[in-house]
Amino acid sequence: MRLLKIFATLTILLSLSSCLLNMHESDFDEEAISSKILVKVNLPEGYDNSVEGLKVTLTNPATGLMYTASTNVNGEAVVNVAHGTYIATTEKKESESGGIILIFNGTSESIRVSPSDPREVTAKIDLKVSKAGQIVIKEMYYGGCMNAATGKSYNKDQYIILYNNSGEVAYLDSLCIGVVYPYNAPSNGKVTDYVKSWLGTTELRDSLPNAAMGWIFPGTGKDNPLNPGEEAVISVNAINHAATISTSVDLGKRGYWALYDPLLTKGHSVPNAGVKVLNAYWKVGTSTAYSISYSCPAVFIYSMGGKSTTRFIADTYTWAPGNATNRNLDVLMIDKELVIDGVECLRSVTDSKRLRPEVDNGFAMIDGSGQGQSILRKVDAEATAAAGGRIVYMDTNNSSNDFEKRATPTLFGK
Amino acid sequence: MKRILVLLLLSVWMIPLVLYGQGQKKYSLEGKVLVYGSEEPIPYAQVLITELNVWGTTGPDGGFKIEGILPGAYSLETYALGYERYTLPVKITKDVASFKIALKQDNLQLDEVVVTAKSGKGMNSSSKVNKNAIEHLQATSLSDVMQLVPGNLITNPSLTSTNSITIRSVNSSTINAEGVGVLINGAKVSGNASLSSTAPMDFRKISTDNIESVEVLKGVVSAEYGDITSGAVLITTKAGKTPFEFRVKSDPKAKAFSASKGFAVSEKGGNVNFDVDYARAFKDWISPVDVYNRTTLGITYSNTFNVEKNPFRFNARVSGYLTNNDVESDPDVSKEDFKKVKDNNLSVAMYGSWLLNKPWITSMNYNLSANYGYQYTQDYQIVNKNPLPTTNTTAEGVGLGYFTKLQQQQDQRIEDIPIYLNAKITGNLNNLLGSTFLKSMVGFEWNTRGNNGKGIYYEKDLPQYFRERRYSDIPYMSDLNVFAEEKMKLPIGKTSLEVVAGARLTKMFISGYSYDANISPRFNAKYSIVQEKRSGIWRSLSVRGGWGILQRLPSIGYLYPNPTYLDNVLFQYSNSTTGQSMALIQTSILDNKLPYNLKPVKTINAEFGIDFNISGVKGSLTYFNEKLKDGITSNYSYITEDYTYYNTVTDLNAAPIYENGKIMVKDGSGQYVELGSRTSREFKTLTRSDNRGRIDKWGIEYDFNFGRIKALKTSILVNGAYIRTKDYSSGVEYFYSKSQDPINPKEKFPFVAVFDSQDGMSMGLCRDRLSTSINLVTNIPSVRMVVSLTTQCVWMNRMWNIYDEGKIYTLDANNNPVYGDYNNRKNMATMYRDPVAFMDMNGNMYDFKSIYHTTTDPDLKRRLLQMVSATNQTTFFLKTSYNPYFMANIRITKELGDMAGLSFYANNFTNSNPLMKDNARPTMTGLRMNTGIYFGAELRLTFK
Repeated sequence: MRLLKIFATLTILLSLSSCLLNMHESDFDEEAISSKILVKVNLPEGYDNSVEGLKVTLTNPATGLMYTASTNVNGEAVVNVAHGTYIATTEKKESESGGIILIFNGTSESIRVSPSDPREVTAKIDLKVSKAGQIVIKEMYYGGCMNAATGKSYNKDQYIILYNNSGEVAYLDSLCIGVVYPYNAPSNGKVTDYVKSWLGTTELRDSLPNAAMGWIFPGTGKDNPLNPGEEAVISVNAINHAATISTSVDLGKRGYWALYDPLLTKGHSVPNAGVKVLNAYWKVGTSTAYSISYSCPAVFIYSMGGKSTTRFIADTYTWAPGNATNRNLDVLMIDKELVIDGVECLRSVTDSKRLRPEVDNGFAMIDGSGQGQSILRKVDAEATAAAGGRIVYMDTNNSSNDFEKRATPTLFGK
Repeated sequence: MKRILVLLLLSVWMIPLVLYGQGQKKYSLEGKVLVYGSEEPIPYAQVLITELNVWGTTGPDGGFKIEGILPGAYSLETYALGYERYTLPVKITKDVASFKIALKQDNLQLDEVVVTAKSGKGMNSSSKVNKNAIEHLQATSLSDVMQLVPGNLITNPSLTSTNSITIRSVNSSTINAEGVGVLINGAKVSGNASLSSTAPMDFRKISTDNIESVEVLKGVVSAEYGDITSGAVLITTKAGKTPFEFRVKSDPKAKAFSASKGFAVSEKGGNVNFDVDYARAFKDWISPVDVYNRTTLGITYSNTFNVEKNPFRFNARVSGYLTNNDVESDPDVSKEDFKKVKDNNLSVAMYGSWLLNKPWITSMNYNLSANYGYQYTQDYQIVNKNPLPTTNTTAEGVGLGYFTKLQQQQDQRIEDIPIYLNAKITGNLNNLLGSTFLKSMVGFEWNTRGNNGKGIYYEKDLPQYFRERRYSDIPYMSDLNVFAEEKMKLPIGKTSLEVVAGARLTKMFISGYSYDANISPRFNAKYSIVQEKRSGIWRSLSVRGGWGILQRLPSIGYLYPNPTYLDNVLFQYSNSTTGQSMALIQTSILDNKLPYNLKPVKTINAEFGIDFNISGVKGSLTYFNEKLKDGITSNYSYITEDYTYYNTVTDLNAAPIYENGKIMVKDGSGQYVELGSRTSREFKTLTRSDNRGRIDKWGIEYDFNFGRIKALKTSILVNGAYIRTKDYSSGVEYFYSKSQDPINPKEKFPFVAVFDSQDGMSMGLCRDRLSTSINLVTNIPSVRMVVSLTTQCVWMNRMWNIYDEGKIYTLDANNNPVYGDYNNRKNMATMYRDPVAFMDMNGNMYDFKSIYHTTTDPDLKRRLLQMVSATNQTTFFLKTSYNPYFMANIRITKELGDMAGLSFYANNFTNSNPLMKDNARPTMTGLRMNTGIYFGAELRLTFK
């Protein structure tokens, strides 16, 4: 996500500028040439995050002077500044459960302090909030491999790897994962049913249809941290496939995750001990297994935006348009604002897309199922260098740019 | 009650016998059958007085004698293998001696060669297809012959897919539509003891080269035919002296060879016929992975003993077939998988008749047959599947199971050994009361069928939750039938009235069920206004009608369905580090044997027809109405059971154990503690087939023969039918979606929906079709060639959903239902149909509509909404229909002297496969009409 990049740049800039800061402070006689500015930081409505310890920066664009101070528990910071006109800014980023980074930022109106003004001036910063995903889908191995012993393709070994692409600890708690309906990308010029047909266009709807089942990471907020550069392997059948089929992978390792529910996915193998399980929070239909297309899935991760699962299901449950007859095709409509990352896979460039451009403006492809191939995010060399060697993957919300096809999945041979 | 019924049936016999049977004057007919234009006698020719069913057989000198002829006018049919069937009217009022009958050799030098189906002369509708027509058609399987029957469409032969036979049907998809009885030489051929497939009899096993004639009986058939609902196909195989005949048939997907010979054992020792056939067919030209092989063999011995007095005709036929269908997997896809299907059969039949000519019995027909089938399927597959818990226990309760392997060698075998035994004896008595002719028939029939097969079993790894069930554990089913029929022909001036009244009483026996006898009454009448004449404008005119009930018994597969083993995994754990794995499975066994009797499928048939011959233009028009009731439908009943599901454990050190009915796991300190669990109540589904199926069918069949245009040597025949079917069901259907509860996804959905007729938006399906087949048959005797050009026209071909009147609604802006007429129109709003009721887990029933549309409980509303059927297909209640489409087909048969014959056909030779749009849905992808272009040829060599 682009925000992450800006955020990282800003962080670097800010830490550099804070070094310069102290040089100015001692040069002036406080009483004579300074005024006191009290800045109050206000959270946006509906948020009750802490406002203590925020770094408030006051800059005088005319002179280049810059002052900083930390807020107290009430969100107030007091700064002694040289006379002039200042702008106060602050920002706060916080990892929420569900792998979301909340980015609060705000700028004050101009604050003018002169010898004629009162010695103490108050100002306020009203924070705005935006979100960014720390977590990205790093790799998808969905097409299965070739079983040399039988000459048949084997595709019970699908997996997805999530990766913390940020410099902050991310939390998997309450992060949701789903596949977009239809399971396979529409072909032959057809489009998905989820277009703005009422406008007479084939523009995709603003919400994404989550098909068949909804999966959510367990935890109460910070139970499942994912450190910067760490990954989480999620599989459908968390067993050691490689033990039987040499071209396959071992998904039964300790610390991996499984899409498994003993009642709802009776067709999945019980995960090997040590593998953690996601919770299935929703299911339609009578299928006993969760299906991710072998040829062209569209997978996405999202948050429930703070709602309870019951509330979330009730608010998003939708009958499939054009398929009111078949209750098994009902979906949950996930607002695009809740989507953290999504990857669209097609089998051919002529297939129609299911993900909106905000989520994935391109697509990734493998040569076909049974080839043992996966798609992997490319390394962002620049960002990686900037992060001091912690691998940062490309995230431009365009899988055509961000992903490349791999001859074997990264877990092969591990 | 049953005894009274039997007595009533027998009285049909007794009354005419007692009243008029005494001292009636009977005459005899004596003569010779000779080859036309010579004095050469024809031995083993049959001379039959059709109406009386009295006959004689010629001896080595060609002489015959028929005794016991009541005075009257009859048609005399003479028939010998290799000669033209010759019918002539005779009037017998005294003993006739030295009656000469000359038969022409049956070849294309005859002026009139029939290569189409001929309307029968019986009281019910029928079509007769003789040997010439089958040869001209180049049929490879019996079902190919059916395309000659008016109203049926031309199909390309296919030996690599199941061939089925239907009569007066637009679609062959429903099991209830296929109530056709097939009798080979009077012995019933059935598929309903075969348990490995629910599909009806596969007719590609019956080769056609040894067939002498096929008669398709429709409408209200005689009481002697039972266990059918829509008609019967009677097949007569060749019996008698024939030259050695060798045939080669070839079409792009099949090759067939056959040989036959009939020779006389000695002068009076009877005839023996051999026939052998081999066919090989490929599904796809380019890939020989799906191959069907068929070998059929038959030996028939036929003789007539005691020719002089009370001749006794005896036939014995031993026949069998060996078929196999091997499907290897495409080597590009899989290395090892294959499937081999063997279907072998041996049948022995003895049949014939005995002309007793006693005052109390005129003749007797008998038929005994036994049929042994051996169907063996081997389906070998390497299955790549993730390991899953499984058990093979046959005991109820909770127990430990095991896991399937990731890569399994599943070698499935199916052994299916259906056995049929059939015995039928029919007695006939002819009587004359004044000028009224009476013909009585009484008969008994006994059928037994069962299966001695092992059923489905596996040689190597078992699939998940596999249980063996031996077919031989299912009891045999038998039925005893008594039938009687009285035929009366009453001359009224120049006209005559024929009335047939009959009934059939069937009592079915199968252990575990007690069936009452059922009775099928049948009536037919025919009024001949103009008796047959050879000249004039009105050469014949008659009207006929019939009403009757036909019944088909339920097959043993329905009465003894497989028990369901319901396996629910309560706990599973797998640890590759310690090597421990555990699956705790709760098994319940649902014996699906029905707690009630499944009724026989019944059709009520009515027919009305008119047959005429005006200046040589023969025509017949028949209206038929067939109402099927008690059709077999699937239904379910539900009971609940509690399951205790244990929490998922992923801890590496959990080391779970199952002790005293509980799962214990190690906690953090290594101590065993009971694992947490949750009890959930779930529905269990019981299979409960029932008799709710209905098919209402009516139609008009027409068949016109415009005669032969001498100058063009061409006959014009036009036939076809309009058939309309309505396929639906009565009563209520229980429907459980098996999905999760929308409010608590971890729980099963708590309600069973009860639908009127069936779930979904429609109450059933209607179809209709109007088709015409125009045949131009050119017969040039001088060059011994017949060419037939058939144009098949499908004028109308429609299909539509049955609307549930007054029950379909849309929603207004406030989500209130708006009931209205949404039938036969495009509807832009989503349409809904409610179940009539719903059942909760305690078995309580609630009215659906009143609760659903008034409840203020949002959770209940959401749950109930799950059961509502809906569609947003705007065209759901519009009729699917296409513009008329046409197809041209040609067939040529040419004889090269007496030695060889060559036939060729091309179906759809103009290769017309128009892409047509559904008139109601013009924006949808169209459909290719007609069969593909197809052709074949046959060479016949005859060695005298």
